[in-house]
Amino acid sequence: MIRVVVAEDHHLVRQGICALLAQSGEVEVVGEAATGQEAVELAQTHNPDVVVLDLSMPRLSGDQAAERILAMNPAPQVIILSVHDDTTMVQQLIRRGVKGYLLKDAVSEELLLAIRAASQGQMFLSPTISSSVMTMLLSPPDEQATSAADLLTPREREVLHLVAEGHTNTAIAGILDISVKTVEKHRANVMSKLEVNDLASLIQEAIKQGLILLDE
Amino acid sequence: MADKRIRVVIADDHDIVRRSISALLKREDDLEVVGTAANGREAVRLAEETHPDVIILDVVMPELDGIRAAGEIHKSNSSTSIIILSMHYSTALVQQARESGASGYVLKQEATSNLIPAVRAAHEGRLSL
Repeated sequence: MIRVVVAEDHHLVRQGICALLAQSGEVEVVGEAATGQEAVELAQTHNPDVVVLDLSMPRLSGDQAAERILAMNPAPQVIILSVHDDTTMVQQLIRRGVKGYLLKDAVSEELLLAIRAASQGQMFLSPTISSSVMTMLLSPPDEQATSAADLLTPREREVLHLVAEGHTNTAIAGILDISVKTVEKHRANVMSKLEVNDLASLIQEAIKQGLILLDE
Repeated sequence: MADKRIRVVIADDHDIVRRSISALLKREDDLEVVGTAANGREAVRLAEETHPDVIILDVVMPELDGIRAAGEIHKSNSSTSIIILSMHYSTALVQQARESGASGYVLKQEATSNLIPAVRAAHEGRLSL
């Protein structure tokens, strides 16, 4: 049985996924998470073979959770679910070692295929996304643009994500367990790296560069 | 007199959500899923073809959104009770839902506990908005 952790904040979707996997007879759902944070914790405690991560989740987004999970030793394989077919994001994720990327509206048919593939270390991408990834793989390295995400440090991206969610600096300090001064410093760094001066421009620029995604 | 099951149509643009709601309803002996739709246009068409007792409409759908689909369905199938499914609660949205003929408004996050009672209430002509 392939042991899987499912992380998805939309209850109905998560339930549907778990039911689908349970029916397959090949997959055992060993944990369910509703935030990126929970997903990382479950990955650490349960040692699954595969983690299915929704890209947009509260607290810690799917891509940030993916990064942490892939850094574990041994690391489970990661499959991303999203409503967005943002090719920049897909490319970044694949470069980091994500094995699957599925669009949520087609997830049913493809999910099992993706999990089977991932458990064997193979990739599975929703057909719609495959072609853009092929293009990326075929272009020489120096033609590939430096991704915006490489601009910010992981901690800066976390702060950006929480700022975009509307949390105050004090709240962010509490969530990340750092001082308010440190939050302010990260926030200032993010703004200067993205070359913006106010919150609205920050959000706009972050969305434009694929650093944060609008949830459906 | 034979017991008739409540005939339900589900409309949501995500396959996984349609399956999830179907599974939820299928656990109940008195409910029967007679069709599913992936957008508002399909939902209206399915309602006209199958005349379900209750139709569940996701607010956010391509082609025609849930509120407008509700309006069309209510006009041509007055015997079909309508439940709006949404991710957000807003009094404006609930108002629009009511004005379009819906008798129920359920949050997706609370669907596992609230959807089935809403379906039954709608079928009995009771409002749950």
